[in-house]
Amino acid sequence: MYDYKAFKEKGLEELEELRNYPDIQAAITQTLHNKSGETDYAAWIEGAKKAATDNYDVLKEWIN
Amino acid sequence: MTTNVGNEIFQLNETERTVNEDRLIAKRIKTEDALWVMFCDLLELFNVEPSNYRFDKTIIQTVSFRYFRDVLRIHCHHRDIPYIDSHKIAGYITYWICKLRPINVVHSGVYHNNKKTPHYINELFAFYVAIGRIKAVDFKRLIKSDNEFLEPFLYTLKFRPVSGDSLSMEYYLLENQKDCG
Repeated sequence: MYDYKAFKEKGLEELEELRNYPDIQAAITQTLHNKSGETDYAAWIEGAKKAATDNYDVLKEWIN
Repeated sequence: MTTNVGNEIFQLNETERTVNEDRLIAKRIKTEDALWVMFCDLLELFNVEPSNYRFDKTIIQTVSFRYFRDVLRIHCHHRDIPYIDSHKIAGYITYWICKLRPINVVHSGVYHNNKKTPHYINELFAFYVAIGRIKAVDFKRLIKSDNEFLEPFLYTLKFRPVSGDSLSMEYYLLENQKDCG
Protein backbone atom coordinates (compact mmCIF):
# COMPACT_ATOMS: atom_id res chain seq x y z
CA MET A 1 0.00 0.00 0.00
CA TYR A 2 1.25 3.45 -0.90
CA ASP A 3 2.70 5.34 2.05
CA TYR A 4 0.57 8.47 1.87
CA LYS A 5 1.78 9.68 5.25
CA ALA A 6 5.42 9.66 4.14
CA PHE A 7 4.44 11.26 0.84
CA LYS A 8 2.69 14.09 2.69
CA GLU A 9 5.58 14.60 5.10
CA LYS A 10 8.14 14.65 2.30
CA GLY A 11 6.14 17.37 0.59
CA LEU A 12 6.04 19.43 3.76
CA GLU A 13 9.80 19.04 4.12
CA GLU A 14 10.30 20.23 0.56
CA LEU A 15 8.13 23.25 1.25
CA GLU A 16 10.15 24.00 4.36
CA GLU A 17 13.36 23.69 2.36
CA LEU A 18 12.06 26.13 -0.25
CA ARG A 19 11.43 28.69 2.48
CA ASN A 20 15.16 28.80 3.06
CA TYR A 21 15.50 30.50 -0.33
CA PRO A 22 13.29 33.56 -0.01
CA ASP A 23 14.87 35.36 -2.95
CA ILE A 24 13.50 32.85 -5.49
CA GLN A 25 10.30 34.83 -5.84
CA ALA A 26 12.21 38.10 -6.13
CA ALA A 27 14.41 36.62 -8.85
CA ILE A 28 11.35 35.55 -10.81
CA THR A 29 9.55 38.87 -10.62
CA GLN A 30 12.51 41.21 -10.86
CA THR A 31 13.12 41.04 -14.59
CA LEU A 32 9.88 42.66 -15.63
CA HIS A 33 9.77 45.26 -12.90
CA ASN A 34 13.02 47.12 -13.02
CA LYS A 35 12.61 49.20 -16.14
CA SER A 36 10.31 51.94 -14.98
CA GLY A 37 10.35 54.81 -12.53
CA GLU A 38 8.08 57.31 -10.86
CA THR A 39 5.50 58.38 -13.43
CA ASP A 40 6.57 61.60 -15.11
CA TYR A 41 3.36 62.91 -16.65
CA ALA A 42 5.02 65.49 -18.89
CA ALA A 43 7.35 62.76 -20.20
CA TRP A 44 4.35 60.48 -20.76
CA ILE A 45 2.58 63.12 -22.85
CA GLU A 46 5.77 63.87 -24.76
CA GLY A 47 6.58 60.17 -25.09
CA ALA A 48 3.16 59.51 -26.66
CA LYS A 49 3.80 62.17 -29.29
CA LYS A 50 7.26 60.84 -30.04
CA ALA A 51 6.11 57.21 -30.16
CA ALA A 52 3.21 58.16 -32.45
CA THR A 53 5.67 60.02 -34.67
CA ASP A 54 7.82 56.86 -34.85
CA ASN A 55 4.71 55.04 -36.06
CA TYR A 56 3.21 57.91 -38.02
CA ASP A 57 2.90 56.18 -41.40
CA VAL A 58 1.12 53.11 -40.11
CA LEU A 59 -1.09 55.07 -37.71
CA LYS A 60 -2.03 57.59 -40.37
CA GLU A 61 -3.81 54.82 -42.27
CA TRP A 62 -5.97 54.19 -39.25
CA ILE A 63 -6.60 57.62 -37.90
CA ASN A 64 -7.36 60.73 -39.87
CA MET B 1 -4.75 49.24 9.69
CA THR B 2 -4.36 45.64 8.59
CA THR B 3 -4.63 44.87 4.92
CA ASN B 4 -4.93 41.35 3.63
CA VAL B 5 -3.31 41.00 0.25
CA GLY B 6 -2.88 37.53 -1.15
CA ASN B 7 -1.14 35.44 1.48
CA GLU B 8 0.58 38.35 3.16
CA ILE B 9 -0.57 40.64 5.90
CA PHE B 10 0.75 44.17 5.83
CA GLN B 11 0.62 46.56 8.71
CA LEU B 12 0.09 50.20 7.79
CA ASN B 13 -0.24 52.80 10.48
CA GLU B 14 -2.74 55.65 10.11
CA THR B 15 -0.17 58.18 8.89
CA GLU B 16 1.21 55.83 6.25
CA ARG B 17 -2.30 55.08 5.07
CA THR B 18 -3.23 58.76 4.77
CA VAL B 19 0.00 59.64 2.96
CA ASN B 20 -0.48 56.75 0.56
CA GLU B 21 -4.08 57.70 -0.16
CA ASP B 22 -3.28 61.39 -0.68
CA ARG B 23 -0.44 60.47 -3.00
CA LEU B 24 -2.69 58.11 -4.89
CA ILE B 25 -5.46 60.67 -5.32
CA ALA B 26 -2.95 63.25 -6.60
CA LYS B 27 -1.58 60.77 -9.11
CA ARG B 28 -5.06 59.77 -10.20
CA ILE B 29 -5.95 63.36 -10.94
CA LYS B 30 -2.71 63.88 -12.85
CA THR B 31 -3.46 60.76 -14.89
CA GLU B 32 -6.94 62.04 -15.78
CA ASP B 33 -5.47 65.36 -16.94
CA ALA B 34 -2.70 63.63 -18.86
CA LEU B 35 -5.21 61.37 -20.64
CA TRP B 36 -7.22 64.38 -21.72
CA VAL B 37 -4.10 66.18 -23.00
CA MET B 38 -3.01 63.07 -24.87
CA PHE B 39 -6.44 62.76 -26.50
CA CYS B 40 -6.15 66.36 -27.74
CA ASP B 41 -2.58 65.74 -28.96
CA LEU B 42 -3.69 62.63 -30.83
CA LEU B 43 -6.41 64.53 -32.68
CA GLU B 44 -4.06 67.35 -33.53
CA LEU B 45 -1.21 65.11 -34.65
CA PHE B 46 -3.43 63.27 -37.14
CA ASN B 47 -5.66 66.22 -38.09
CA VAL B 48 -8.82 64.66 -36.74
CA GLU B 49 -11.85 66.93 -36.47
CA PRO B 50 -12.52 67.19 -32.69
CA SER B 51 -16.23 67.99 -33.05
CA ASN B 52 -16.89 64.49 -34.39
CA TYR B 53 -15.89 62.89 -31.10
CA ARG B 54 -16.92 63.26 -27.49
CA PHE B 55 -14.49 62.48 -24.71
CA ASP B 56 -16.44 61.43 -21.63
CA LYS B 57 -14.52 62.82 -18.67
CA THR B 58 -16.57 60.87 -16.16
CA ILE B 59 -15.51 57.65 -17.82
CA ILE B 60 -11.90 58.78 -17.88
CA GLN B 61 -12.10 59.31 -14.11
CA THR B 62 -13.24 55.72 -13.80
CA VAL B 63 -10.45 54.57 -16.12
CA SER B 64 -7.92 56.34 -13.92
CA PHE B 65 -9.45 55.00 -10.72
CA ARG B 66 -9.55 51.39 -11.95
CA TYR B 67 -6.07 51.60 -13.39
CA PHE B 68 -4.72 52.80 -10.05
CA ARG B 69 -6.47 49.98 -8.22
CA ASP B 70 -4.44 47.60 -10.40
CA VAL B 71 -1.25 49.56 -9.73
CA LEU B 72 -1.91 49.54 -5.99
CA ARG B 73 -2.53 45.81 -6.03
CA ILE B 74 0.87 45.22 -7.66
CA HIS B 75 2.58 47.57 -5.22
CA CYS B 76 1.07 45.64 -2.31
CA HIS B 77 2.09 42.31 -3.78
CA HIS B 78 5.66 43.33 -4.69
CA ARG B 79 6.60 45.40 -1.67
CA ASP B 80 10.32 45.28 -2.41
CA ILE B 81 9.98 46.62 -5.97
CA PRO B 82 9.67 50.42 -5.95
CA TYR B 83 8.36 50.95 -9.48
CA ILE B 84 6.14 48.93 -11.74
CA ASP B 85 7.41 48.07 -15.20
CA SER B 86 6.22 50.48 -17.88
CA HIS B 87 4.93 47.64 -20.09
CA LYS B 88 2.70 46.54 -17.26
CA ILE B 89 1.40 50.07 -16.78
CA ALA B 90 0.81 50.26 -20.53
CA GLY B 91 -1.09 46.97 -20.43
CA TYR B 92 -3.38 48.04 -17.59
CA ILE B 93 -4.18 51.47 -18.98
CA THR B 94 -4.92 49.89 -22.39
CA TYR B 95 -7.22 47.36 -20.76
CA TRP B 96 -9.29 49.97 -18.94
CA ILE B 97 -9.56 52.38 -21.87
CA CYS B 98 -10.74 49.58 -24.14
CA LYS B 99 -13.07 48.18 -21.50
CA LEU B 100 -14.75 51.47 -20.54
CA ARG B 101 -14.47 53.24 -23.92
CA PRO B 102 -14.35 56.94 -23.00
CA ILE B 103 -14.60 58.24 -26.59
CA ASN B 104 -17.91 58.36 -28.46
CA VAL B 105 -18.71 59.25 -32.04
CA VAL B 106 -20.93 62.34 -32.14
CA HIS B 107 -21.76 62.50 -35.85
CA SER B 108 -22.21 59.19 -37.64
CA GLY B 109 -21.32 60.93 -40.90
CA VAL B 110 -17.71 60.57 -39.83
CA TYR B 111 -17.91 56.93 -40.92
CA HIS B 112 -18.05 58.09 -44.54
CA ASN B 113 -14.54 59.51 -44.43
CA ASN B 114 -12.51 56.68 -42.93
CA LYS B 115 -14.45 53.88 -41.31
CA LYS B 116 -11.41 52.69 -39.41
CA THR B 117 -10.98 55.82 -37.32
CA PRO B 118 -14.38 56.01 -35.59
CA HIS B 119 -14.59 52.24 -35.43
CA TYR B 120 -11.31 51.92 -33.53
CA ILE B 121 -10.98 55.37 -31.94
CA ASN B 122 -10.81 54.04 -28.35
CA GLU B 123 -8.35 51.32 -29.26
CA LEU B 124 -6.16 53.78 -31.18
CA PHE B 125 -6.21 56.14 -28.23
CA ALA B 126 -5.28 53.31 -25.86
CA PHE B 127 -2.39 52.30 -28.12
CA TYR B 128 -1.21 55.93 -28.32
CA VAL B 129 -1.26 56.30 -24.52
CA ALA B 130 0.43 52.95 -23.94
CA ILE B 131 3.37 53.36 -26.29
CA GLY B 132 3.80 56.85 -24.87
CA ARG B 133 4.15 55.44 -21.36
CA ILE B 134 6.84 53.01 -22.49
CA LYS B 135 8.65 55.73 -24.40
CA ALA B 136 8.45 58.10 -21.41
CA VAL B 137 10.98 56.01 -19.49
CA ASP B 138 13.61 56.70 -22.14
CA PHE B 139 12.95 58.64 -25.33
CA LYS B 140 15.57 56.51 -27.10
CA ARG B 141 13.38 53.43 -26.78
CA LEU B 142 11.85 52.45 -30.10
CA ILE B 143 8.40 50.90 -30.17
CA LYS B 144 7.86 50.34 -33.83
CA SER B 145 4.65 48.88 -35.17
CA ASP B 146 3.53 47.91 -38.65
CA ASN B 147 0.16 47.06 -40.14
CA GLU B 148 0.73 43.35 -39.69
CA PHE B 149 0.81 43.96 -35.96
CA LEU B 150 -1.60 46.85 -35.62
CA GLU B 151 -4.58 45.46 -37.51
CA PRO B 152 -4.99 42.23 -35.51
CA PHE B 153 -4.00 44.05 -32.33
CA LEU B 154 -6.77 46.66 -32.69
CA TYR B 155 -9.25 43.94 -33.62
CA THR B 156 -8.26 41.93 -30.57
CA LEU B 157 -8.58 44.95 -28.29
CA LYS B 158 -12.08 45.61 -29.56
CA PHE B 159 -13.57 42.15 -29.93
CA ARG B 160 -11.57 39.70 -27.84
CA PRO B 161 -11.28 39.27 -24.08
CA VAL B 162 -7.77 40.22 -23.03
CA SER B 163 -6.21 41.01 -19.68
CA GLY B 164 -3.93 43.85 -18.69
CA ASP B 165 -1.18 41.34 -17.99
CA SER B 166 -1.39 39.72 -21.41
CA LEU B 167 -1.37 43.16 -23.03
CA SER B 168 1.74 44.09 -21.09
CA MET B 169 3.46 41.08 -22.62
CA GLU B 170 2.28 42.17 -26.10
CA TYR B 171 3.90 45.56 -25.56
CA TYR B 172 7.06 43.94 -24.25
CA LEU B 173 7.28 41.75 -27.34
CA LEU B 174 6.48 44.68 -29.63
CA GLU B 175 9.37 46.66 -28.23
CA ASN B 176 11.76 43.72 -28.23
CA GLN B 177 10.67 42.12 -31.48
CA LYS B 178 13.31 40.28 -33.41
CA ASP B 179 13.31 39.51 -37.09
CA CYS B 180 12.63 35.78 -37.13
CA GLY B 181 12.36 35.57 -40.92
